[in-house]
Parts: sequence; structure tokens; C-alpha cells
Amino acid sequence: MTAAHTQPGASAANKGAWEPEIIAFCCNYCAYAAADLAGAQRMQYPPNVRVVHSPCTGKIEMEHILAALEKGIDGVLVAGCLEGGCHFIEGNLRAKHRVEHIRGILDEIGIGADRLRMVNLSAAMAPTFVERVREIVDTVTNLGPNPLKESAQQGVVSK
Amino acid sequence: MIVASPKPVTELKEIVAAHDKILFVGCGTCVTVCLAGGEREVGIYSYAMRMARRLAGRPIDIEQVTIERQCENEFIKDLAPAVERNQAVLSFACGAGVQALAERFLNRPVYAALNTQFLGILEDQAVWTEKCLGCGDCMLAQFGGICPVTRCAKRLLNGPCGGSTEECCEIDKDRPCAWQVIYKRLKGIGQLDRLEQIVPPKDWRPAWHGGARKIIRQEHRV
Amino acid sequence: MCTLSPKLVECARNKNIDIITLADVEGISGEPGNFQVAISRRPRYVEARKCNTCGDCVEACPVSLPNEFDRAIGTRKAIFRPYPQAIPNLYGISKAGSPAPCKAACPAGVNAQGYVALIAQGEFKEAYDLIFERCPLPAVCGRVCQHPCQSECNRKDIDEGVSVRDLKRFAADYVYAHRDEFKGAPAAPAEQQKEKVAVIGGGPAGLTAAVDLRRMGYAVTVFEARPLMGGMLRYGIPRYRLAAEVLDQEIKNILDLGIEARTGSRVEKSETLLKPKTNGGSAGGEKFDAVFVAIGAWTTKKLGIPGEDAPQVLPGLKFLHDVNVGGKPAIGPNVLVIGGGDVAVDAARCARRLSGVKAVRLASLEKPGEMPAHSSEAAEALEEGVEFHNGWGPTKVLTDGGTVTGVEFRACTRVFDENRCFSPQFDDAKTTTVRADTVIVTIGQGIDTSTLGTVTTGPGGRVAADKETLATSIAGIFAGGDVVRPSDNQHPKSIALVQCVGSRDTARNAGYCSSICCMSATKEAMVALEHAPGAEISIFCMDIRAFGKEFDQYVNRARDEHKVKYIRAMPSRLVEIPGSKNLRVRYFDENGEEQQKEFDLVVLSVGLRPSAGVRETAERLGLALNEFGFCRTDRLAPVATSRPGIYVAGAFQEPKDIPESVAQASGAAACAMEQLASVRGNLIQRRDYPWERDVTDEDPRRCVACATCVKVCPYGAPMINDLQKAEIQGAKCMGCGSCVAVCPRRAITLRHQEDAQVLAMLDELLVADGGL
Repeated sequence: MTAAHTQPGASAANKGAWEPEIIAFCCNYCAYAAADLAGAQRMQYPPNVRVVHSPCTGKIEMEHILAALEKGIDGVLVAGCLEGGCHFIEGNLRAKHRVEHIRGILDEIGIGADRLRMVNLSAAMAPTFVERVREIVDTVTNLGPNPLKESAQQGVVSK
Repeated sequence: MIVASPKPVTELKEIVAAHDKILFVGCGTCVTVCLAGGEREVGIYSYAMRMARRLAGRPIDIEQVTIERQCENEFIKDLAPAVERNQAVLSFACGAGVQALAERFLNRPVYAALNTQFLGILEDQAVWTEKCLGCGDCMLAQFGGICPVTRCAKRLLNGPCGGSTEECCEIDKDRPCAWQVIYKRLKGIGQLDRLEQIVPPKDWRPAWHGGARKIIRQEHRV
Repeated sequence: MCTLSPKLVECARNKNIDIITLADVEGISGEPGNFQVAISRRPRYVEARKCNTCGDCVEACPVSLPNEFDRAIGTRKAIFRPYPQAIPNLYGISKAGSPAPCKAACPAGVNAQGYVALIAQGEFKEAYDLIFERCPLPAVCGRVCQHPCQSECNRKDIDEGVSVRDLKRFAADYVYAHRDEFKGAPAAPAEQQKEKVAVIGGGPAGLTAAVDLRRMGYAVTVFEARPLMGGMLRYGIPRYRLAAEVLDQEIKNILDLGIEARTGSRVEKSETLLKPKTNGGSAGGEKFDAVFVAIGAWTTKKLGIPGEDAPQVLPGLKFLHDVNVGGKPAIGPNVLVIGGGDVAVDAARCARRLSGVKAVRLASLEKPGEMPAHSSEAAEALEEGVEFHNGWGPTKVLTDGGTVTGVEFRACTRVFDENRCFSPQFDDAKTTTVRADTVIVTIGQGIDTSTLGTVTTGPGGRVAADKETLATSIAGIFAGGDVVRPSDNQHPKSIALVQCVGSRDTARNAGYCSSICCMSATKEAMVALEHAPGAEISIFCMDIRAFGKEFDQYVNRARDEHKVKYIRAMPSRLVEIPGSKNLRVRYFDENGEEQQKEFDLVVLSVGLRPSAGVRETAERLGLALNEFGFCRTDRLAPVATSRPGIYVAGAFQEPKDIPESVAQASGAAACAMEQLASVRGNLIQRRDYPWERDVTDEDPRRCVACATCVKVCPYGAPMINDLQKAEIQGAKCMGCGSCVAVCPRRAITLRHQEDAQVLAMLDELLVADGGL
């Protein structure tokens, strides 16, 4: 496929061998199934994403998103069902508000809201999943490494 | 219940700026229920604070603990060793809890993480409204259980002002006019006649105008 | 791996599945529900119970071998784990036909590292026995062996080889010196055989053969022409190197095993000892069922130069023989030994010891470092005053009236050719004369050159061929992320993949579909395009069988997005175009028109064949095979073999991909379970899970009864109970976790999604990848 996507770090040439690490919290009924389907269809997408399975995006605790970023993950994707399509009625809507809240906090503390994004997709939307993954990988690649990464500890961290 | 809301991270950052080892204390009673100062909020703000400080190049060490009630010495006293270990305390309690800690631990600064708002109820999920001013001289019996002292912007005791439009307060178009609510309520319980009685000016002496209040009840003293 | 590994892990963790590795099934007996399986297990050479797969051994292992898992592209150590996900997750040592270098170097195959280790542990008798197993003359060999073991010892890379020979001598001498402590000779033969064997020759070969035969239970008679046993050990090797008592002792040990020795009895014709094939043959003399001829190589090669027939020119072996039997050979004061081997040095040193000899000179073709004689022997000879004349080839023995006066030499410019083969060259212009009154010729012993012919090494051809094979074995595999043509490492621009080569071809008794090639070829094409963007790829096929879930979409993507051409045709011929080395593919298109097309690289999708061991395995298990050599099954019972109770899964039945194999394996397991249905639940182990606590009726202590959970639950599972605390009603809960995320007191947990588990997962994702 597009060669640029197989090497997400390429556009950030000055950052050397850095490759963004993305955690995708995926809900069981839609996003995880979509990711699964993308695999079954052998669709190619950046290998930078690690999927954490969750029964519903409504289960995703705000602390865990923050924890991922504090541990040095460069970006977090919260992937749930389409709005109105939540298996648990409105878990994804609650998740949406929580994500917004945390984005506010991230802006306040200087990491930047763009490292966190919520997406909605159905179980059949494997191509959308792939596209969203690419988007966040691109976004995060442009943002550069999470300034909280252990390796980025020395010196003044600016943002 | 006492309703409080969290302060912005930016403000909290400034408050604790001088410390690099601090104790975050949550309260397990009112502020937990109003989702402002329970274990979860303490957790979220700890993450946020740690990250903010690391980004600023001044990492902070945060110890978290949530006790049942910060306004109760029985629970506070167990905090002593944790307080001793840290340079300061950030309390996620209402103002009463913060002060209880401050008075107990004399050699450590105690800061408030929340803005204590009012006595109120949960109107809807995550929607709180003020219901009581704590005036010290309750008049609810006269008004069908709806407090005009708290809920009327002008604290009128003898019917609505002229600004009430379409059942709403002239101060805030989204807020129901307290007197409209009182009327409906009294009508519903068949006590409209109460509106006929003239209410004399309220005695504000039991309220906070005389400074911090104190109640002593001998029957419970030991 | 992604499909296989989880299955492996699941199997390994199941308490009721025993994985028996390094095993061959020798046979199966019994009937369905009650089989007995005979298994032979090969050693792992690593104690599985103790190995915790730390991998330190790999760091320490000095031996690198081609890694089978990487198709021999990379290397692995001799101690290895086939691949990181291997189950069982243990290391093993491959002893791929290469014993320890010392043992490999030993012509007798004595387990040198074994007895050295035993001696190190003070087990001297055991060490002696171990030597005796392969070599019945430990004390002799401990003295005179050329010890190639020592020269090959790995230790030489650090300082010098272990003194294997001296250790052997020590073990033998110690055991002989403490004979009383070690009662009991080596074990007597287990079973007597009725056949009798004659051994002609009482030298080391004959004695060893006699011992081996005796231990196998045969009656052995050794015929020795000379008055004493020992052969070359007694009559060839000088006494100063091997004392007669040592030899006598060991020969006695051998004869004590029950071997009859007839010394002084020359056998003229070995056939006369054999029993006649038909009854009533010649009656005279004793007859044997077999004869072993070990008469040694007693003739000395001749120089083939003028004057060699003079009486003062002595064959080296005759000279040594005469010295050893105690005679004083008639030699003059100036002795010249011609030859550079051990025999030459022996002869020179023996001559030096004889009275009346004033000077001993040794002339050899080889330069000092090249002499085949053992360097320490040569050094000792030098010390004893033997004069070396290196790099000279004799041309003429000078005589005066029948008496030798000297030998004329010419310079030898090289002894060995570039392939280390003996091929001397001389410079006739450079000559010299060495004065001598006795010449001893020791340039080699009588060896049948016709037998030698077969072991001559060619000029490196074989090795080169091996290298070539190695190179071709990795052909077509993308090395270093590049697609290259194996013949010249060119990057191909056009690639053809030819399907159904050797499958769906009744003419080659391969009428079956190989099943995996369509998708493999498509995948290879896509992968090749990733590595060689812009390459034109054509797949020649009869049709494309993309029958798995979403497989057709993959093929469509290859065709539509990646422009892989699918050409419906069977190529009839591939021709290499001289010069460019490209290949011309000739085929008939769908209209029956003959076409040809040129490609840089052609990949053949060769149909899967039954693997080499299938027939043997099937025979051992008593399973019928179909006409193609796969396991025979019935269309309606695709997992049942011809033998009731034995089921088949995977490519043993017919070619199939991994998901299909997995599905079939599930079917086979189900059929096996059917047999065992009546005894279900027996003989199994259950997994002990951590103790669980039922908290249904307990006070939820953390809960502050804010009732937030009650409000968010879509199923109404949480409720405020009589104790005024929240309680989740298990029957209603669907496990969405909405209440968990919202509880301000974090009083609710969701099984398998607990705080610590999620955080551990995040840690693992960060740590396990080492930052991706």
C-alpha cells in the first residue's frame, strides 16, 4: 500500500529512530471487531498501534487514559461504536464527554489535546478504523514524541 | 449535601508550586457523591499534576489517600503519618474539611483543591442545584417546602417580583421563578391560603452575618 | 506464527495435554478407546525440569549452525530454541552428527572428552573402561598415539589443547598399577555365538578386531606370522618410545578375554581358513566362518633412483624390525635417512642410538615446518644430534664398487600443490651431495594405491558445489529486504509466478489441488511489490482458488490496486535467454494462441507433496495412504483414517493452510472425544483457580451510596440495597463497565478489567515492545 504509512517515523526524520506509540482503547462490540476485521482482510496499517480491549468505551476510566500518557505513550485513541449504536446504549456518549474533559486537562498541563482522540465506528468499518489509525499516527508523528517519555526527560521540555 | 467543584489544574499547579512532595487527600462523603473530591478525582488530578510538573521540569511526588470524612477528627487523625511524610496537603474536601485538616496539622500547609459551592441536590446525572442557604432560621414550612430565601434571586418572602416571566426568573431565564414553584406546590397540597399571610421581615441574626456560627447542644455533650 | 503460537500456548498450558517432543511414534497397538503407543524419544541434552529459558547458554555456546527456522539464511547456536514462541519453551542441543572435535579426530573414535571428564572427577577405572570400549590398547596408545585429538582440541584457541594422550596413559597406568583394587575384567560377552572367526595379523588392527568380535560373542583365533604378538607395535616402533612390558601387559589383557593366539603361524592364503560353502569340502585343518585380514603394511616404498639396489640401502621398516628384535643391523658410521615422516625420525633416532654410528643425517623433501613427522619427535631427534637436510629430493645413490658413498640430491621447490596434494616440484639446477655409507629409506609404506584412489580429494570441486547448493537453497527468498535474482543478484523488474507446478497434473500422478499456492502466490506478489515497488508481476494460473474468508477480496486487491496480472494459462516451457539470463515463458492463452513473454525472474508454485517420512509413519501406524501418498480418508468422514480410532488433521491428509488445519484438528479432537464420551472427566487434572470470595451479602465498605451507578446502568443492575449501599445484581449485569468508570469511590470492579490489570497491560505494551 502507501509506503509512507509503513514507516510513520519517516516524516519526522530529525527525530531519528523514534516511532510513535499509540494505545487504542477499543470497545468490544464495534471498534475491536473492526480492528479484527481489518486484520482478517489483511489490511495494512501502521504497526504503531497497540489495542487494549474494553467491554465498552463507557468502561474506559479517565485515569487509564492519563496513565497511558504519563507512562510515555505518544497518543491515545478511544474507539467506540457509532453514536447511537452503543451496545450499552450510551457508554460511548459518556466516553466522548470524558475524552473531551481529559483533552481539556491535557491542554492545560501542556501535553496538548491532540494526542487524545475519540473515534466512532461500526464493526464493519475496518477501512475507517485503518484510516483513523493512520490519522492519529500522522498527527502524533507531527507532534513528536510524548514529552513525558523517559528518554525525553533530560533538559527543558517545551511545548 | 455540600456541593463542590474542582479547581482548574492551572490554579492547582500554582497552589502547590512551592512543593515537590505532597499529599492529596480525598473525602469520601459529600464531595465524593458530587463527583468532585472522591478517590477518582484525586486519581485524575494526581495524574494531571504529575504530568504537568514533569513537563515543567520539576517533578512532584504525590501520595494519594481518601478518607471517609475530612470533617471528622476520628478519620483525620489517621492521616498524621502521611501528612508528616509530605511537605504539604492538598485537600479535596469542602471548606470545612480543608479547615479541619489545617487546624489539626499545624506545621504543614493545607490547601483546598475544590471550590465549595453550596448545599444542594443532584438534579440530574452530574447536574447539581442549590437548595439551601443555611440561614439558621428555616421558613420552609410556610412555603410548601420550597425555599424562597435560597431560590429567589431577590430573597422575597411575600410573592414574586414583577420581573418573573413565563414562570422564569428575571435574573436567569433558565431558572424557574421560585415563587412560581411555591405557588404550584401550595396549590397542589391545598394550602394556597398560606399566600394570604404576610411574612414579616426575616430575622437574619442566626445567619452568618454575625460571623462564624457555633452550635452547642448540651443533650449530646458528654 | 500469529495463528499458530496462540494454539501452541493454549496446548502447553492445558493440564490435560502432554506434549511429547523429540519423539517418534514407533507403532500403535490396540483398538479404539484403548491404544498402546510405542514412542522412542531422542535426548534433548538439556534437563527440561531445570531449564528456565534464560538463554545464557546461547551466549556461551561457541558453535553456530544454519538456522532451520530461517530457512538457513541466518545462524543459530548448537544449543537453541527453534524459535522464540517455541512450545515447550526449552532449549535443546543439536548434535547434528558432529561429536566433540577430539572424538571426531580420533581414528578409533574413543570418547576423549568422556574419559577426560571422568579422570577429572577421579573416576579412573571408569575412564579406563570407556577407553577400552573403543581401544583395547590404552597404555600403548597413551604413549605412541599421534593424538590428533589434542591437535583438534577447542582449548587450543585459548592456550593449548588438553593433554588427552597423557591422560589416557595415566588412566591405563593407574589401573594397571592398582590392579588389585579393580577386580573383574571388562564384562564378558553377553551371548555366545556359534560362528568362529579367524584374524590374520596380531598387530593393533587384528587385536582390536579380535576384541570387538569376542565381545560380540564370537570365538576368535588370531594368526600371527612372527614369534610374538604386537605387529608394528612390537617390530616397528622403537623400544624407547614403547617399552615391551607395556605392550605385553595389554596383549595379555586382550588374550585374557578368551582369544586364542597362534604366533609363528603364517597364513599363506586366507581362503584356506574359510569353511567351504558346500558340505564335504577339503577336510584338512581348522575352518572358520569368517576371516579378517589385518596383515599391516610392511613393505617400504622404493625411491626409484639409480644405485638403490646397493646392499647398504636399507628399507626403513626392516631396519626398525632388526633393531627391535635385538639384532645389530650392519650399518656404517655415516647414516643417511631419506624421508620426513615418523618412521624416518624413528629410524634416525634408532640409528643414533646404535654403537659405531658417528653421524645420522635426515633428508626430506619438506621444509622443516612441513614434515609429516610429529614436531616433538623431530625436535627430540634434533636434540639427539640428528642432522636435518630439508628441501632436497634424491636423484642418485652414489656407489663405488658396489659400496654406497653418498646420495645426490636436487632442490625441492614445493612439495604440495595449492590444494594441499602431494605434488613435488624440483629445481634441477640446484644440487648437492650428502656423504653416507648406509642409506635408510623411509618414504612411506606399501599402501594399495588403488584403494587410495577413491579417497583422493578433488580440486575443491565438491566444496564449491556445496556452496553452490547452499546458495541455491536460499534462492527466491528476500535477503536483506531486497528481491534479487539468485543467479546474479539482479533486481528483477518483471516476475512471473507459475501456479500448479506438480499439482492438478494427472500426468505426474498429482491430480490434487495443492490448496495453499493461490493465496501464497498472491501474498508473495504483494510482498515482492512492497520490496520492489513498480515490479510487474504476472501469475500464470488455471484459475484462482481463493476460498477462505475474505481471500477473494485480497486477490481482488492484488489485481485491482496492485496491478498483479492473473494470466489464465499453463506455461509449457521456460527457456533461459543467453546473455541477459532472463527467462522466456511460453504458454497458450485463453484463445489457444501460443504466446511468449520474457521475465527477469520466474517463481514456481510447486505443489505440496507428502513429506518424506509420511510413508514410513503411515506404515508404522498402519494407516492407508491414497494414490498421492497422503493419508486416505473418506469424503464423508474427512478426519477418520483407515484405522478406526486414529484420526488425522492437517497437511498429512491433503495440502491445506493453517486455519483449515486448525479447524480439522478441532474435528479430529471431537471424534477422539466421541470415543471417550463414556469416561469423560476421568484421568484429568483440573486447574486450580485462586480462591474466590462471594461478597453478595457483605457490606460494600467503600461504597458511599451516591447511586451514580444506579443512574448510568443501562440494565438496572445496580440497586441500593437494604443496607443503604449499592449492590450489583449479577443476573442483570451484562458487564459493560459503565458503573465502574463512573463510581467516584472506585468501589466497583469489573472482572478481568480491574485497575491493576489495565495498568499492567499498559506497562506491558510499553515494556514488551521496548518502545516499539
